Amino acid sequence: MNTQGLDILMNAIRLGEIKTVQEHLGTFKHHLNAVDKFDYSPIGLASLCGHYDILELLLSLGARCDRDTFQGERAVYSALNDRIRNLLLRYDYSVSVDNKQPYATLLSSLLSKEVGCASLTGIYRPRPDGDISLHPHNGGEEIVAHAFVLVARSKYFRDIVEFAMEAPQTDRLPIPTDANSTLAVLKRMYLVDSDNGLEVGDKPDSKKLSVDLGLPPPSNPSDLEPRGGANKRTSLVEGAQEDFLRLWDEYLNVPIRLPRGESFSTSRLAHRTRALRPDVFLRVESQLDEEVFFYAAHKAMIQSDFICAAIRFKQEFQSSRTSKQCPTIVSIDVSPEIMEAILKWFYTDMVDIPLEAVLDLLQAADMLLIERLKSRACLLLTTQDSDDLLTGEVGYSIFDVARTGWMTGTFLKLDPFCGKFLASRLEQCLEEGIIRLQFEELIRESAGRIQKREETDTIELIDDIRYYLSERFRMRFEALPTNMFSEESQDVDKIPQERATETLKTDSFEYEKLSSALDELLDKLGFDV
Amino acid sequence: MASKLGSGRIKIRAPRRGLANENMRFEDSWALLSEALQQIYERDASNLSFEELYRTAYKMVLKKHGDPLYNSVNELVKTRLQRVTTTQLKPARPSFALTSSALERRESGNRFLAAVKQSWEDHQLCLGMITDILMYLDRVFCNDNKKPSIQVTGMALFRDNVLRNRDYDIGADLNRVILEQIRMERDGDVIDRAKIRSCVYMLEGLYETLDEREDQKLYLTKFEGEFLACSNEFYTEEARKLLEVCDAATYIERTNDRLNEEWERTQSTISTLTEPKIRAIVEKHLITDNIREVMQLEASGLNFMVDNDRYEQLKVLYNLVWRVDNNVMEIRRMLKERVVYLGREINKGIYGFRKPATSREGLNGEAEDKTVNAETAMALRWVEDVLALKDKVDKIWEYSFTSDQGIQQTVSKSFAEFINENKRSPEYISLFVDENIKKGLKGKTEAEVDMVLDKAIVLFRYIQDKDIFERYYKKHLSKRLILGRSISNDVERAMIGKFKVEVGFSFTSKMEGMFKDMNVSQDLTTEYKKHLANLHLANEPTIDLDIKVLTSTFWPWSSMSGETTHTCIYPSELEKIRSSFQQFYLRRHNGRQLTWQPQMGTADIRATFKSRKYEINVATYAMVILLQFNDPNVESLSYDEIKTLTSIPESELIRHLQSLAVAPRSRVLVKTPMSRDVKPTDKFSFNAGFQSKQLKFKIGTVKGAGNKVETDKERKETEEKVDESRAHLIEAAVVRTMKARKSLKHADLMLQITEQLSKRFMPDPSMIKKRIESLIEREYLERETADPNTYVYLA
Repeated sequence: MNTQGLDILMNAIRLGEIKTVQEHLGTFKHHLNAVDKFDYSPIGLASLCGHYDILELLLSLGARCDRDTFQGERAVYSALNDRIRNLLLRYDYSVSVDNKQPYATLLSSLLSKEVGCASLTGIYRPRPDGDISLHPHNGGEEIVAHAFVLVARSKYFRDIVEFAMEAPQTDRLPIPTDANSTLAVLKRMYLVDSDNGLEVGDKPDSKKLSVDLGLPPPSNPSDLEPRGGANKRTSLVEGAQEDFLRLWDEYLNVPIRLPRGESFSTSRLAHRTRALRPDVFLRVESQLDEEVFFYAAHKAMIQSDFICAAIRFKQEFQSSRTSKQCPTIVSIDVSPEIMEAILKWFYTDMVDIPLEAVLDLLQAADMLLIERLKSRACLLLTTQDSDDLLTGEVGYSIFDVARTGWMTGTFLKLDPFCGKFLASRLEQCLEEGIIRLQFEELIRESAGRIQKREETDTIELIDDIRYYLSERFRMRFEALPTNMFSEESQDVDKIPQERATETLKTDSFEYEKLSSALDELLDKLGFDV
Repeated sequence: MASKLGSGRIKIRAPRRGLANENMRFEDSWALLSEALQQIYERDASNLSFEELYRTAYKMVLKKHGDPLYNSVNELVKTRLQRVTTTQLKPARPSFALTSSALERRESGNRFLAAVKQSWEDHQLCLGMITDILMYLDRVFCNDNKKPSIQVTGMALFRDNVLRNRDYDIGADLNRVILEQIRMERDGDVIDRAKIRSCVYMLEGLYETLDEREDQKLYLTKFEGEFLACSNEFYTEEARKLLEVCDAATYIERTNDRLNEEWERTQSTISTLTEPKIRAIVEKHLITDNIREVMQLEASGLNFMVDNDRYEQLKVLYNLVWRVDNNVMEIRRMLKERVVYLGREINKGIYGFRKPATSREGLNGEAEDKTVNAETAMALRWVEDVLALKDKVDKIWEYSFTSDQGIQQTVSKSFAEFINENKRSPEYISLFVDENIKKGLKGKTEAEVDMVLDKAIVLFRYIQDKDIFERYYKKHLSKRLILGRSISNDVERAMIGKFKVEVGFSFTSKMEGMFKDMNVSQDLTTEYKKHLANLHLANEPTIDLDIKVLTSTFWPWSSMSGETTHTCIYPSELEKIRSSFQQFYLRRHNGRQLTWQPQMGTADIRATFKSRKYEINVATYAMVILLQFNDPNVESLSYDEIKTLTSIPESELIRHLQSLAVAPRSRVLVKTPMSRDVKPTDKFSFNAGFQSKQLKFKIGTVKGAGNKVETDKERKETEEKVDESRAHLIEAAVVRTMKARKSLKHADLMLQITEQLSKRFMPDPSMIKKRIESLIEREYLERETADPNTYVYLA
C-alpha cells in the first residue's frame, strides 16, 4: 500500500480540504478504510477534527466503522461534537447493529491471523486446525480450510460432498487456480475483512473462482451508494448466516437417535454429515422418548466454555479412551430442543425458539457457560408484555423469570424487567389469590438475597417496583401539555385541560392506593420498610 | 431476522422441571466429587465422567453449597499435598552430611530436585483437571463472592503445604540443593540444569499472597536473596584466590569467563530476573574491588600490556572496567602514568646528550658546529620517537579501547604533559617539519606527505607554548623560502593551512605574508629586468639581479641577522645595480624604506684560475670579498685592509674569510700564516692555483644555511624575544579585557587572561602581574582605593 499517498489523504482530512479528499479517493479508493502510522482511519480523523462534510463524504463512499474494531470505536468516541457523533450513528454504527460482529469475528478467526506484525499487514494464514487442504493447481502453497465452512458457503463443495465423495474421504482438494486467488475466496467465505475495502473482486482469477465455486459474485466496489459500506458488511454477514442455516438444517440438525443403552458409532452418521468431518458429538437424552440423541458438531464453532473444557479434559486427561473410532462425546443435560437451539445458534447466530423454552435456554446457557447466548435469551424474555407471563400460561411465570435471573447471574438485565412488569400489573398481584401468594414468596426471596449479602433494609425487588410504579404514573403526567399549569397561557383549549386534570386526579389517587397497598403487604410480611 | 430466514423445526414440549425443585444433600454430592478428585490424584481419571462431575458441582453452586464446596476442595487438595510431601518428598530429602562425597551429594540433590519437579508437575496436572471440573464454581461462586479462584488457592496450598510444610522444610532444602548444585557448577562440575530450571519455574509461578503480585514471586522473596548472598561469598573468595595465583592476563580472562558463565546461568538455570543482580555482584568483586590491583601487577599488569602491545588483553580489560565505570577512570589514570613515563624516557635521551654539550660551552666554532649537528639529528630522533610512541598508543586506543573518547583525552593530556616538559619541543617539532619539507618528502606521494605533516600537527596540538613554536617555525620557514630550500610551495601552504585550522588566522597571518612577499618579489624581479632592457643597457656586462623584497613585520629579522646591522661597501659594479633597483623600486612604491640585507644573499660568480674557469656559488659577502682581489694591482690584502675596503661586520667577515681561505675544499684565497683562526694581521691573496673536481661548486659559510638547533646563546635570545612578545600579548589582553569590563578583581582578571592566551601559550602568573603593574604605572589601570585587589580601567 502506498503510505505516502495515504499521508496526502490524511493531511487533506486534517486541513478540511474536501476537494483534495474527493479527488484523492477517486484515484486511491483503497485508502478509504486504510490506517495510517498513528492507527487513524480516515473517518476517525475526520470525526476527531470535526469536518462534518468530509465525514459525510467518506461514509457515503462506504467507509467502514465497526465498533468491534479499534478504529471504529475510536471514531465514535473521539467525535468532536454530537453532530458528528450522530452522523456516525445515523450511518448505523450503533451498538445494536454490531450484535452480528462477534459471530463474524468467530468465523474469520478460523482463518486466523498471524500474531505480531503480520496481523497488522493483513496477512492471513489458515489455522492449523483445519481439516481439509486445498491444492491450488497453478502453484502456491496448500491452504488448510474447514470442510464444513466450504460446504456451507459454496455450492461447488456441496456438490463434491453430495456426489463425488462417495469414496473414502479425501483430505486434499484440487483447486483450479493459484494460492492467492484461493486465499482471497476463502477470505470471503470466512468473512475476513479485507483491509482495503476492495475485496476479492479485483482479481479476475478469484472472481472466476468465486463463480466456479458457486459463491454470489462480489459486489462491484465502484457503485457505492450511500451507506453502502455498512449495508454491504451487514449483507455479507447475513449471507453467511443463511449459508450456515442451510448447513444446519440440511446436514447437522439430523441427530442420531438411539434407544437408551445402545452404543454409538460414527458409522450411523449420514454420509453427507460425515463428510463435514464433525470432531465432537453432543449427547442429550430425551425424557419423553426414552431415546438418546447424538448431534455432530465442530469444535471450531462451539462457544460454550463447558463443552470446550469437557473436550479438553477428555482429550488431554483421558486420551486413551478417545480415538478415531471413538470420537469425543460430550453429554449435556438439556432437552434435545434446547440442544438444537444452542447448536443452531453456534452455527448461525440465530435464536429461534418458542417463548415457552426461553427460560430453559437461559438456564442451559448459564450451565454451559455461554455468556452471549444468555444475553440473547434475556433479550427474548424481556420482550414479553402479556398477562400470560403473570399467570404462567407460557410455561413459566414472571416469578420464575425473576428467580432464574438471580440464579443465572442475569438479574441486572432481568430485575428491571420484572420490576416494571410487576409494577404495571400491581393491582393483579395484590388481589387475593395464587398470584398474590407467589408475589409474597418472591418478595421474601428477594429480601433473603439481600440480607445474606449485607445488612440493609431495602429489598431490591420492592425498590424496583416502587420506581416503576412512580414511573408508570409520572409518564402520564409528563404526557400532558406543559403549559396547562401556566396562568399566562391564553389560547389553551379548556376542555382537554379539564379532562387532563381529571385524569391526573384519578392517577394520583390510583398511585396512592397502590402504594399504600404495597406497604400493607410488606407490613404483613413483616418487613419494616 | 429469524422470521426472515425461516424457522427451525423445534417441537414444542412441556418445559423441563426447573432445577429449583430438585432436592440434594451436600454430603451426597461431595462424596461423589471427592471420590473423583481422589481418583484424579491417584492418576486414575480415565473412567470419570466429566459431565457428571461438572453438573454435580454446578448444582451444588446453584443450591448455595458453593461455600462448603470451595472449602472442602481446598481441604482435600491440602491433605493430598501433605501426603505427597510425606510420602514422596520426605524420602528424597538429601542429606547434607559433610562426610558424603561430592558425587553422592550431587546424586542425592538430583534425586530431590527430580522429586520436587515431579510433585509440582503432578500438582499442576491435577489442579488443571480440578479447575476444569469446578469451572462453574470458579466462574460464578468465586466471582460473586470475591474469592480467589481454585487455581490461585491451589498454588497457595502447594506453597504452604509442600514448600513450607510444618514438618519438613522442603523449601529450605530446595534452596540449599539448588545453591549446592550451582556451587558445583561454578567449581567445574556438570549439573542437570533442566531440573533446576523446572524448580525455578515453580518458584516463579508461586506467590507470597493470593493477589499474585509480580514482585511477590517466591523466587524473588525466598530464593533470589539466598542465591545472591551465596554468590557474594563465592566471588569474594574467588577474587582473593585469583589475585593470589594469577597474572593479570589470566585474571581478566577468568573474570570474563565468570561473567559469561553467570549470564548463561540466568538464561539456562535460574531466572533471567536475577541477571542484573548477579552481574552486579561479579562485577563488584572481580572488577570494582580488584581490577586496580590487577592492573598494577608488576610483571603482567597494564604497563606490561601496553609495553608489549597486548591488544587483546587490553581489550578484555577495557571491556571489564567499562562494565563498572563507563569513564574507565582507572585505566585512564594508569595509562596516563605509563605514557608520561615512556615519554619522559624519550626526553631523557636529550638531557643525557645535552649535558656534555653545555659543558663544552665556549669551544671553538667547529666543535660547536659538530655539537649542533649532532643535536639536530637528536632533535629529529626525539620527534620520531614521540611519533612512534603516539602510533603505538593510538593503535591500542583504536583497537583495544574501541576509540573511547575519554581515553583519547587522557592520551592527549599525557602527551602534552611530557612534551611540554621538554622545553625544546617547539623547536624540535618545527625542525622536524623543516627536515621533512626539505628532504624527506622526495618521492613520497601526496597522501604520505599529508600523513607526515598530520603527525607533526598532532604534536603541535600538544604544545602549550604555541608562540614559541611559531617563532621557530617562522625562522625555519623564512630560511627555507629565502634560500629556496622548500621542495614544494604546495606542501608549505598545506602545512600553514593546517596550523590555521588548529589555532586560527592570527597564528598564520605572518607566515602567509611571507609567502606573499616571495610571490611579489618574483614579479618585481621580472619587471625590473624588463625595465633594464628598456634602458638599452644590454651591451654592458650585466649582473642578473634576483631580488627579494621582504616586508619587515612578516619576517623574523632578529634570528636572521644577529645583533649587528648589515652594511657593506659594494664594489662599484654592484653599487650601480643596487642603486638602480632602489630607484626603480622607490619610484614604484613611494615612501617605502628599503633596507639591504647582504648577509642573506648569494651570488653565482665565474672565477678564472690557472687551471680553468669555475662557477662558484658564494654568499653575497664572500662575493664582495673576492671582488676585492679582482684588481690586478692587488697582490695581497690584510684582514684590516679587507675590513676597511668592505666594512663587512667583523663576525661575518671572519666567518666568510674562514670559508674562503681555511675550509680545505674551497680555498680560493690563500691565507698567511696558514691557521684556523683569522687574526687582524693575517694576509690574504688570490689562490691562482686552486683546483676542484667540479666545475660548479658552492662555498658555504662555516655556519651552515640549514636549520639546526639553536645554540644556548641563540636560545637565550629567542627566549628573551618570546618573553618580550608575550609581554605585549599579555598587556593587549589585559587592556582588552579591562576595557570591556571596566573593573575586575585580580583573580578574575588572571583567569580571563590565562583563558584568552592559553591557546597560544600558558602565561606565567608573575609575568601577568608584572604587566599589570606596568600598565598601572603607565596609567592604563588603577587599583580601586577601597579594594586594592580590584583594578579599574582608566579610559
